[in-house]
Amino acid sequence: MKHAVLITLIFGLLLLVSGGTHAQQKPTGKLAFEGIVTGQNDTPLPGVVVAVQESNTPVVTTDQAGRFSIRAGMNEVLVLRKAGYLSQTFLITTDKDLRIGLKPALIDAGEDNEVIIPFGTRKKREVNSAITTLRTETLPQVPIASANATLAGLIPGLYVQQTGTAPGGDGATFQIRGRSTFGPSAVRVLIDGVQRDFDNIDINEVESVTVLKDAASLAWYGLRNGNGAVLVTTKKGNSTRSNLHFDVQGGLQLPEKVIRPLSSYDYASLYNEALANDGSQPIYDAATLSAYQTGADPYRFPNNAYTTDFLAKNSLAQRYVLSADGGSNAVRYFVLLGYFNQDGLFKGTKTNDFNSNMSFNRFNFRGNVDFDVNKYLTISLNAAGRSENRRQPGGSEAGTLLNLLYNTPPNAFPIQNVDGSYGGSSLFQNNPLGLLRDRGYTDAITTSLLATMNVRQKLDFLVKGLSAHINFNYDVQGNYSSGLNRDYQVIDASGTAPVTFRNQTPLGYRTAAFAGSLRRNEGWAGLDYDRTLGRHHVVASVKGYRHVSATPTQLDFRGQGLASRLDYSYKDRYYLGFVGGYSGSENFAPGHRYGFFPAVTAGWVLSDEAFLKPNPVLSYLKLRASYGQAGSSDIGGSRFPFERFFSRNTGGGGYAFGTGFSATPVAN
Amino acid sequence: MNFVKSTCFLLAVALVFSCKKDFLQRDPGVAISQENVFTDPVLATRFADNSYNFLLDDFGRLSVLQNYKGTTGQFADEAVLADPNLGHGVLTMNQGKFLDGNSTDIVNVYTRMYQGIRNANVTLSKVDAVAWTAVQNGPLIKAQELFLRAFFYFELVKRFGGVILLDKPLTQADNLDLPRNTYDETVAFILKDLQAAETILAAETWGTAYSPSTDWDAGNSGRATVGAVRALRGRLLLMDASPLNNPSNDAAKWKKAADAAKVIIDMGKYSLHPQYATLLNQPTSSEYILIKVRGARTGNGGMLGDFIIPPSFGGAQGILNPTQNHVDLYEMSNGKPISDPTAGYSPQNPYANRDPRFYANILYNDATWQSRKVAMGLNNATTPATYGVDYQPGSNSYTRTRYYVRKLWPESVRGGQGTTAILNFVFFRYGEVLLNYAEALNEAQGPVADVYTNINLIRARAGMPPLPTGLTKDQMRGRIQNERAVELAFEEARWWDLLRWKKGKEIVPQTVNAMDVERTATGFKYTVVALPAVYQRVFEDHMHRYPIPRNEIFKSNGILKQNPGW
Repeated sequence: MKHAVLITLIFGLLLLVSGGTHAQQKPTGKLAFEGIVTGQNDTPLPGVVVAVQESNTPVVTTDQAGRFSIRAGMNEVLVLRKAGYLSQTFLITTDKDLRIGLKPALIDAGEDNEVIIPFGTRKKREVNSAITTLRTETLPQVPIASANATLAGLIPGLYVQQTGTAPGGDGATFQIRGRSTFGPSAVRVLIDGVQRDFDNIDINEVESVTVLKDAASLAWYGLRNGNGAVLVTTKKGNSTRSNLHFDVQGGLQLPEKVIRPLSSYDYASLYNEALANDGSQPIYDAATLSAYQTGADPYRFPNNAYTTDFLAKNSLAQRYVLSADGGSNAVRYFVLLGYFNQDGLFKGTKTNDFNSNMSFNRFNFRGNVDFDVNKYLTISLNAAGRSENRRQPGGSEAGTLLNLLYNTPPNAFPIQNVDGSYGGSSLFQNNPLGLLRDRGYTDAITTSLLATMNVRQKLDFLVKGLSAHINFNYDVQGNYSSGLNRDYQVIDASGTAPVTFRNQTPLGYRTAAFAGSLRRNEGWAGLDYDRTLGRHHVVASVKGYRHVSATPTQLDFRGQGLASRLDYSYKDRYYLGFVGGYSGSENFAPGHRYGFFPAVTAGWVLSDEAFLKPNPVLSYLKLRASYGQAGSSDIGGSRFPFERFFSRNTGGGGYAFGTGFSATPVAN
Repeated sequence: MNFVKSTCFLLAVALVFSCKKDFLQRDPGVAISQENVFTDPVLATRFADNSYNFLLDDFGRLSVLQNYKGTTGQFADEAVLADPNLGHGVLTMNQGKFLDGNSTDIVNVYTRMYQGIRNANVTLSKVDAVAWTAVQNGPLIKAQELFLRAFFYFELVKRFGGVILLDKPLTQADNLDLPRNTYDETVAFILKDLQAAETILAAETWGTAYSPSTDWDAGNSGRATVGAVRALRGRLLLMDASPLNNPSNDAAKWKKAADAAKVIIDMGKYSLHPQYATLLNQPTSSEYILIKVRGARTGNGGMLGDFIIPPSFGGAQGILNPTQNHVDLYEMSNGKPISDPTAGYSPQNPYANRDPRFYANILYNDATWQSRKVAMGLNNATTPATYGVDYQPGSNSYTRTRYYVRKLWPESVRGGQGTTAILNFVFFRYGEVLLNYAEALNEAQGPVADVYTNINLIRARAGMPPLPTGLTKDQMRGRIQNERAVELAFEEARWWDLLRWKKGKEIVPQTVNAMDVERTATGFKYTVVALPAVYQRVFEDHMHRYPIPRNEIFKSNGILKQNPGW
């Protein structure tokens, strides 16, 4: 089925700033504070956004003279933001004219320039390897099911390929800078640090998408992500403001192209012509041809237009997402509830008992909570759940049905006989109407529960700048199919006595089938260090990890390793980095399991040098270079290729010995 | 307080990453590692017996589509494959495209033999360390593995000449880009293995299961014996003495081959089965030296139902079709070839008074089969013209030559039905030993009395008169070669004989003929016609040796050298 989302109607987009209960409160104890915001050399700064932290007070912006006036209470905190400047908080302790100075950020080092790296962030200016981070506010808001497909064309180096079009089956695949490995070439998507399915996430759950492209950025993962990795972070609450979002989107899907088959008259004429070319006698006589043309007797001379009779011109897709975020200084939250629904293109599928049309229904929920236990310890819990339901007519017979619609001759049989029974013949025992209305349906249901615990303990009391970190996840996913079953009979009424094919069966439950189950655990733990000493800035991390992925009827898959990196900068101008991944896979022979994957990076902001500084054209120029190795343990083929394994049997090695055989002679 | 907390935290981290054993060292679950196989003597015997599975152990075996279709006789002048499907592993060989991936007798056999060699080598490397109990016998296992390794190498050397010789299992740490050994080294290696196997088999006894005099008991029939070892040696030495490998026609080589066959004759253990026609259908026979033991077969699918038996007899495909070229090799029952004007051959009554083996091997027009006449004639008396039910000109599921193979089709087996009959794949039988002996002796000493004696034994069993006396060595060679083509028809012999005799270029590209049959008022009109081009063959001199499969050459970094001409 060829679907394409052509029209997207945004039925409504509602943005409610701040919580409803607060909106009714009277601003008791509030005063009007006035002030001026200045930048470099005490020049007034226009266009600075000023807000009161955790308050419903309307946000104001400074005027041309850098002045603002805002209602706030004593001892409340102002939050000031302007692009190109470092954000600043300001505690109101006086009702005098407030003077607040903002510091300009270095180019590519502002708040909007954060680049996500594995379990960390860097300013764009500091990054020497090939990493692109995309914020979700730049993502297109369209009602399509696949989050993968929304990234198409947005990130340089990320190739997105969509091959399927069934509702819920249009998951696109990624390639980053082409294939880098033999065998399996999948790009891993890591959501909140661990491998997860991105395709069925709701795009509103996503804070940012980062693509790691080169060896210097991938060496961290050792031999795990040789083909590149996509890092996804989910949204977190913000203690400065509370937000409630409700998105409603609807879309209309139209097939790009539907084959227009021949009419019975054209088909029969051309068939005769083909026979004549082969030197055979025509099988359709003039009376038959004429009957096809006039359509006078549609039961004896049917003229079926399957694609128009059974395929709708369009179908609907809709998406509803409710999310809220906010928090206090100690607890921050983000919660989301989403529903997505996409219908298929089959027509006339609704019966009194069921609707067998193709469809995709998905519920997403997420709750991300960050809790500052004390000023050293932060615990985050990200929990998400998902239920996906993909429906098909019959027992997964969408393919049979399409084949039927496109390949059955228009005169093969009447869809329905005079008495309303389904038409058919010994050669054509599938009736498309019967398949849509009387074969039941199958629901393939996937449910997932994804939970991540992230703990960060600052260890400044031991060593200033040191912190410890644990990230652990527990993901489970289950698949099963169920539905209703029924069968119909087709009657060939063209002869003197009607002939029946297929067996009619009454409506019943389809045998539910377990179709797989998956558990994934991944644990990371280690130390981070971040310290600025004068003009020297050092950031370093060392982490160990293990991951397990388990499915029934086979051994679970395992890997473990150590990841480390050290970034040093001097004067925010000279950058040096080292990344080292030491990782192992069970898939390799003992003694060859582990590999070390190092990378070195260097960067130099030339434009900050005195000799280039006066140049008004070249405001920013950075040279960067990196060299590294990334590995891949996904080598394809059978597992444990280093060793042959043998299955048990009870016979003698499978080869027959002995003489104990006899022949049964035939009685002539 | 914080210090305590953070210490606990670090301890927790340490716990996560501490482990009793290597996290990545996996217990393989239901599967058994090779190490563990050899700690259990029962499993070890099964591992060893698995080597037998790599033998080429049936007539139809070449097709990648259905592995019971295609025989080497269809490469030679013996038969054609009616259904020239690429995947059947025959067409590319007929076209001389030996390097094609569909040439399964080259690509697949090369791999399969080395798999077998590896299984034998693994077993041989472990066999001495296994804690055998009274119910197993280590030395006999060792002897069988040596025999099987020799057999695998024989299959390689007869195809490729010298190949890589391995007497131990390689590991992934070993250098796998190995050069080929020479032809002579390969032959010597095989002879050494056979000698070692024979020494054990001739000395060891094991309860009631095995003794050198009685061979294996009924439950173990089908395993290697002294006779099998000697038969393989005889076949190897005959190949080694033949023109392909003996360009100087060194009589000493022929003598070695004759002696190797004579040893088997002198054992006195084997004799000819009295009836040629039922030779392959016996549960046991004094003629069998080594057979593949298998249950009786049905005509419902499989090699019989889908390769031998045509749809008109209830099968799916009858596509192993003897050629007219092969049929012409059968002498008249008076012992004269049909080309002899005094033989009494009538082209319009071609199936009368032929060698009895013709009737045992070939189903021809108007033969009586399964209670009716085989009907393959064109009937011009009807409009439109019709054909007998056993031939359809437009369908490749029926014969293209107007012949089917009777030898591999026990009459009691009905196509598409469950009735069964035994049809053995015979690795070695006594009849071949006699023929080998006669051929080698004639080359070594000329047509001495012993040559006549042994050939005439074969002929007498079939019901044929003895060879005329006074033949020259060359005439005798011709008669022996003809005798082999007839006696060993469809038993995987003809193609290999042509290769070792270096007669491929002479015989294989000859026009492949069929018989055209037309019904007349009084009987049938027979016309020999050439088959369409798709059934004709190409053969060049260099094709007497197969090329090493191309992917093996490519993998070897230039170490593995291709045979000349390829």
